[in-house]
Amino acid sequence: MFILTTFSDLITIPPALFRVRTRSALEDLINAKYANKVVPNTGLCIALYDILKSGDGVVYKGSANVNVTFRMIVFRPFKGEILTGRISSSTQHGIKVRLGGFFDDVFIPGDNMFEGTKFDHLEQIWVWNNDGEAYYMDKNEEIRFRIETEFFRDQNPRAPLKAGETDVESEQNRAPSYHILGSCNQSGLGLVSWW
Amino acid sequence: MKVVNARDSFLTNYEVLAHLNATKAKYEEEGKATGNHAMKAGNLETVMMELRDYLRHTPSATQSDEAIESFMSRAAPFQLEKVELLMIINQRPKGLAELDVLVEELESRLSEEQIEELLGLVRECFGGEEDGGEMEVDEA
Repeated sequence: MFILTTFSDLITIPPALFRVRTRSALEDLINAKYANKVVPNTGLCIALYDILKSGDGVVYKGSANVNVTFRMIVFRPFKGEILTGRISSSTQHGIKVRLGGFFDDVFIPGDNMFEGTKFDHLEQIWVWNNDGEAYYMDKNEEIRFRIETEFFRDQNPRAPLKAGETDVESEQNRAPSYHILGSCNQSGLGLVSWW
Repeated sequence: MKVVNARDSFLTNYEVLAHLNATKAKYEEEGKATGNHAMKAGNLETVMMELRDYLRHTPSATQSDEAIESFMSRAAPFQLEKVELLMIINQRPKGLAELDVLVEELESRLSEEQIEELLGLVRECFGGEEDGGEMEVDEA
């Protein structure tokens, strides 16, 4: 589920960081720029792995500009990979799964579940009827699923906040920039406790 | 920003966890000298905390370099694909059904004895049963 991705970037070291060792200033600036951010068609960057190469640096407008080639740990599961997560919510369209707290945008549509899986509107959960036995997919249960498709989405610039609207609300209304569609319709998949 | 190589190599969950722990230890060490414990970038702090929280509950938390190396060399005769071995290490299958989803066409590629042998190897290298119960405790 994790890969190493090589990036090259021009990193600007502000004068305030000149007293810090260049190496550790670069590490901090790279992490500040990339950690926990989605790079389109590459994945969700986690943390700097190592710096492969850094140039001499050019002083421009008082700051040092350094060309750096480095490797990041990136969350990018491949198609067909099996992952485990926990069910965070269920709707009639399918199940939303979160991986710890770091990735929330996995969706398993109803069509991608076992044959005979129905949404129970009263309980608001999905139920798999297997030869007369009902298996419930409760919230927070551990679920194993297969990665089917991934979507990257370019974010539009954010509109100014409306009166009374907080930053958090507008953040929640945005479509995720990276989300994954999963499936669980093969024996061995579905809730971990079933097998 | 330029992506030089989108997929340089795969990492196991164990390697990621080890790297995060090392990074955290390094920042804490630096923090001791300056008296400032927080990591310098808030976003890094957040994602590391959340990811360590996730990985702590996966088999990677109990693995070691030696266990993975010995598994890799002893699993060679089964001729599995690299990504299949990667998933086996990350998922630690305990039974046939779990192994079957990780390895494509399992039953036509390996005989019944070989499957048993492979599951035994996984158990031997990465242990298992006991920390399944631990998770239930965490949940409560």
